[in-house]
Amino acid sequence: MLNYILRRLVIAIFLLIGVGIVSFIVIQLPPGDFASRYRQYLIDRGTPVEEADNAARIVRERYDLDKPLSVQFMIWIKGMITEGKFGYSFAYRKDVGELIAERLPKTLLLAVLCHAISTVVGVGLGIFVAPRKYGFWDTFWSILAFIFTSVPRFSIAIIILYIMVFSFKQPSIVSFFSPEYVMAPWSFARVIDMFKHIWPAIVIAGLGGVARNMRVMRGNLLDVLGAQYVSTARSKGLTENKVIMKHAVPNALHTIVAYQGTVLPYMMQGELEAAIVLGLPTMGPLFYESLVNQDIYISGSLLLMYGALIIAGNLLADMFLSVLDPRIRYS
Amino acid sequence: MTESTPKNALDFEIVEHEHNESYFQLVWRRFRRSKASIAGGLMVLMLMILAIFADFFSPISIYQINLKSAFIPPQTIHFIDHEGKFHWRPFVYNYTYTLNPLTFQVYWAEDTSKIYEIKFFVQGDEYKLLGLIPSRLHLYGVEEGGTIYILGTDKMGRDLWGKACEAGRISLSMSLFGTIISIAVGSVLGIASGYYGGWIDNAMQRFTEFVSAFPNLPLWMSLAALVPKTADSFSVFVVMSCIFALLSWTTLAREVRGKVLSLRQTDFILAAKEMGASDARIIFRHLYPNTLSHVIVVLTLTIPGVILAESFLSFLGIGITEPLISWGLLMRNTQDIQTLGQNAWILSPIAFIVVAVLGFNFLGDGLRDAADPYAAM
Amino acid sequence: MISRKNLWNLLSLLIVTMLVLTSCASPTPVPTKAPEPTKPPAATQPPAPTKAPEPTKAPEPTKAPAPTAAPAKVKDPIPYPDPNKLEVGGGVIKRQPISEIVTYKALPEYKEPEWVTAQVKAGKLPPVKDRLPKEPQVYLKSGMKDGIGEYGDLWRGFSACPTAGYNIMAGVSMGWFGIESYTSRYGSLVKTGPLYRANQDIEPFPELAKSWEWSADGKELTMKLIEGAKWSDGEKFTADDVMFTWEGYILDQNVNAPRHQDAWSWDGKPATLAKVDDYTIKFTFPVSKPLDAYYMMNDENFVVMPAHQLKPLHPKWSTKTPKPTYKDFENALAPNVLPLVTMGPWVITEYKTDELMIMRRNPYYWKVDEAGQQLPYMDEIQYRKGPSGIGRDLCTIAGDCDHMNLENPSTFVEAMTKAQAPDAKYSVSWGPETLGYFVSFNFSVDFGVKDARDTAVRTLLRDLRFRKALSYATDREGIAQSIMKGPFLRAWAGGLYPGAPEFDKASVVYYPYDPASAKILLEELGLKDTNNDKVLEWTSGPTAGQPVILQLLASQDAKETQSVAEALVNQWGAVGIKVNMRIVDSSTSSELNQAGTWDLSVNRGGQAFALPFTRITDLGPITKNFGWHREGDKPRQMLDFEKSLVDVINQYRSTFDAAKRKTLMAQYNKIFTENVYDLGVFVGRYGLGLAKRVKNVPDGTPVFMYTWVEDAVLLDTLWTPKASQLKQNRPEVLPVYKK
Repeated sequence: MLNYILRRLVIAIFLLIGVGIVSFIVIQLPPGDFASRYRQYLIDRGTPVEEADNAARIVRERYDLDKPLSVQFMIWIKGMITEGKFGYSFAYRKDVGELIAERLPKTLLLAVLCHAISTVVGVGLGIFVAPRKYGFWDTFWSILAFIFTSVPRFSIAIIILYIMVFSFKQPSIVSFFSPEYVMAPWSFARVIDMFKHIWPAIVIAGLGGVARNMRVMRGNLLDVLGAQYVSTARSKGLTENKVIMKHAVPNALHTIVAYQGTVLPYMMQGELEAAIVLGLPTMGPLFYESLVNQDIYISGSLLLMYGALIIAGNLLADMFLSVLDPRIRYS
Repeated sequence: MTESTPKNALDFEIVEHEHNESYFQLVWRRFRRSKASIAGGLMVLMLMILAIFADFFSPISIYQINLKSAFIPPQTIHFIDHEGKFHWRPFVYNYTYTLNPLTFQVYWAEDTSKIYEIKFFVQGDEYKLLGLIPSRLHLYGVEEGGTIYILGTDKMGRDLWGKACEAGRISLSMSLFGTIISIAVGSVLGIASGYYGGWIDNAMQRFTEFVSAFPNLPLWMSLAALVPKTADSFSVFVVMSCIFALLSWTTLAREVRGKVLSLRQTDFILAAKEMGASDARIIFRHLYPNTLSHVIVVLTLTIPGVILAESFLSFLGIGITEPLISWGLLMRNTQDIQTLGQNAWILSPIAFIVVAVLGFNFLGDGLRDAADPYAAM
Repeated sequence: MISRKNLWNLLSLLIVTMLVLTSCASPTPVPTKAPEPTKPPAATQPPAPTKAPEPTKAPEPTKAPAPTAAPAKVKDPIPYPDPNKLEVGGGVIKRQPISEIVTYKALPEYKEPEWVTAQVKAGKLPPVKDRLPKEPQVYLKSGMKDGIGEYGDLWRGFSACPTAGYNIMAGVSMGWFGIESYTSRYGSLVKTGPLYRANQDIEPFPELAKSWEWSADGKELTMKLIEGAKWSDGEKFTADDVMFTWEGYILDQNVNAPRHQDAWSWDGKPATLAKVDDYTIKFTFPVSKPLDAYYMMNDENFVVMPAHQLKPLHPKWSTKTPKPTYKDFENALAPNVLPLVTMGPWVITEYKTDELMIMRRNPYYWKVDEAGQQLPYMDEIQYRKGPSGIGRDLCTIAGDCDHMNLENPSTFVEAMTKAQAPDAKYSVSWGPETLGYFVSFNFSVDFGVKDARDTAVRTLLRDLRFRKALSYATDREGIAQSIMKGPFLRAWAGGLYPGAPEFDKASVVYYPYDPASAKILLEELGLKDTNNDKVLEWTSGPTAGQPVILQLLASQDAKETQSVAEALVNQWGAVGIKVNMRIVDSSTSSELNQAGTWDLSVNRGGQAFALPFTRITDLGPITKNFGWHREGDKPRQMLDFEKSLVDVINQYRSTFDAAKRKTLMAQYNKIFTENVYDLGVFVGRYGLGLAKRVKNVPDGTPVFMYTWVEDAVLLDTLWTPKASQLKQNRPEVLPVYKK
């Protein structure tokens, strides 16, 4: 067991390094750099061309943008390993690690909430519809769940945004808190305030995942309900409800539990889409902004971060499975 | 695929089957039973037809820009005119506008002075059907001087209905093309990995694992940002498709590998090997066809993801740009704060996205259930 | 695959669906019925202003004259039309002498908010008299629209840029959107933003420099600084701070200052600055009275930095080991180094990255109103953060922010509509016509030229007949109306904006929309459609037989440039010029410009064409990097009219007499528009959305004139009646510095 985990860990580290290299190359490829964007920005603001050229030159020198790619990559990796620094953001003038540290908890919170919604609603619906196979409610909820999956998230986000602002005059929708709560210590009122702001993101990203969980749960439950021991339980005269809740559901839940790890990254991507449109201060908008600004270390580090989460998620899922089902270990 | 091609591997399998029905007949029978999948298939088919013959379905040329008719709301189809008279033929009124002098808000109203009857199969602007056959035939239209915008117009004064139909060309073909690339890559790698085993399997496995460690959406976003703005439309299309293909093949490769692994030990493959069949023959004659149903299911279930991703990227402005047009790009115009208050109808391309994604999902779901026709019902 | 019967089933189903679909598609939802126009009933059909007696005059998109009647002669330019009557916004700016707005004098008594007095009594702060300079700057009642104000209230801003730090003169962004304007930028030598209220625009507003004098030969400028003013941490402000800023930023090439010594040079010779005494400085210039120097001392370019805080951190003077690098110095004032040391009315006291910034009143602020109340009136500013500027608009419309700038015509209608609602928290006013979109041409003969096609295109662009042809082929009114219906946007010939103070309508040479004229001119140039594909070809030279295809850049950020470009593709296409539009982001556009590899580009115009003297170098090819005509390796070949433009600009530069300047600008504009130096498309106005509750906002405050409005509005003089004041985040708190 330990051996298996260790082996997986080593592989994970190599994967991570690979992801880092590819991320960096991808991020570096677009023409131009932060300095050229900065220069244009200055010109647009009315700075004379000569001064803007000079400013771009200083920025390039200052942040090693004039060095070859391999050197820049080594600087990035070296900082990460020796000092735990994720590189330097040109726009924020601070270590990318700090930026990520500020946003990661919020991102995870959103992702976990979305995930919770999609799991609870999805599993619940799955349990509800499985015994009503091909009945009205099965079709109804399946279609509804599919519709939620099919609507592009950014479009619901933008519609909710406008409706909240224009029709309900809900203030400061594009943030995590109302101003009076941003710096306040945690309290019940602050939590309420937070939910007032982030529910669109949670609902949008969460409901998108319902269909998947519902389908899995429904399928598993149907399989289990056909199994021998369930028939036995039925023959003992238990009510159908009891059969389902006591015997079938726990067994059908296995797969769902096992795949928790792999779902998180998926949820983070769902969150990403909603958060970019809503402008919530999570990793999604930061990533998008950095791509546009060519703030390469942010984009690179975030790609790496998403990759790390996926790898960690897979690792977790594998371990879960190997605990649940010893046969897996050998694969 | 009937009995007339007995050499096919599939038939090899079904010959022994007691129902004496082909595999695909079985699949079809099961598939047909699921109303949702039929509906899904039809939705997809419908969108494809609309996209391919967008010129025909649009009452005017889909490339026509007319700044003076920007942001006209959807026109109502009438049967009863303003005097209460009933007409057998549906008709529209032209729209004219008045301005609020304080806010410059545009109010559109019907100009009831003249009735424009909707005629079907009319001659109108010239276009080339399928890019080849010159034609002037449009499904519907009104006579000279009238306009008919059933979904309204966008800011360039283009018919949104025609535009949305046309946008399906890119959205659908790009996702289809991207998925096919990923299917090709995924099945080749999966089969090779499963069939040959050993170090090839190992290397492929690790590679698959490596690629699936990348986050889809963020990597797509960064790759899409790479597409040079100078590139011509065709290259943008190909590059974007490849970007979407890049990450989607891993699931398939894994599943195909598993399927091949289990098939490898079956009697008929062993028999084929005994009889001295070449690897290529075994793969293409026996293994691949048997994974095909699986591949098709994955294909239909990958497409909606790509459609959604493409529309999101275009919405952000890092996907394709004009003069190419996709549903996502049409949605890009809705980012204005003016959209919901002044011209909400330009949100209508959402419906196309939803129908497409829903259609593929239903279709894929039904196919998945049907692909395993021997399972207990 | 499928049995025949099934196939038929499928097909019939398909056909049915198609029919259902196509018929379903027809009775689409009822279109939004025009709601009853709120107040005045809208006039009939074409947009007529309510009271206009002749509705026909309304700007119906100009119809192309019937080509049949066209004689084979190019139309003459027509007089540029008068502006359309606008029923909304546009208040008239009251222009008065600066001395009626501010002065420096001691007042008999000074006041402060009661809660500050309480802190004085508690011994936390010196009394107000000691905190103020001997002669504070006094905002006079005659310069205040609503008069002396009341203390209290919270100003709510929104910033969509990262806050990178506060070392503003080292090129570090504090977050824009007014963050620098309301803090550090109040510490400049002079102020040019509020000049829109002054009755002249040569002498700027005094700020830290309270008065100045030119020597007889005009080469020396002696400035008196405010005496006894203090930084927000209580340290004294002296000429040493100014000298530190000069030597440590402007003269130091390693620091990313907004203006360097090269900018402070005239005829290639640099200006110098010397300290005379603690409150007097002296500039020495190589030429007589260079007026643009004022604009390099303003709030954008010469913010005095606190020497007592920053000099020990500057690599030039630092005694620390190891010596700080320039990168360290730039980042010395990181976002969390708070409270900020500033001369401004508010002090940044708290900041949570990308979420919220809080500024509290500066108890040492050196300005008072005529009643002796220490400014500012408002106690607090909060800045919310978000990823895009749309956030500010949404926030303001929702009544949750106090200010937005309307810069994109495509949002105007919604902003105005929402402002009309009875419960709207903001109102919108419109500035002069200075929001213009134009097409620029690349005039370089060889810079960025790769092949024969490029050469041929440049030759065309340099030919007046070609530029005129494009001008005749442009339906300016049509484009303006497509972007926003009504009289708000209108055609523009290019050159100076109609809203520029020195604009003279008579100087405009305006080529009307007339495709026939365009065709004649193009034929004269030897461009013909030889293969009947509706695209003209060159008929001579190395490119003979090739179609004329131009590349037109549009900007990803300024959305309206895309609409303009899309329209031009069509309109120029109609006369046989094929145009490929390319939407580029600002990075790409910067690169293309530096490499010279572009043909034409649609731009949103800058300030130079509103107030020429503020951006002299943007007016014509004076420097080698002039955007439309860059110099490459070879000396550039200026066209004759470009030479005359440069002459006029140079004369203008050294002219002080307002009337003479206006004549010169008329001359400039005539040469400019006659030669279609750029091709103006349409012009509109910037809109200002401000919270209704706020008092003392001058009528007609422009969003973008001398500077952006944040630097022009004098937020320290704005106030709110007690009844409508908002709750503050940190009531009764003053910045506390760790010693």
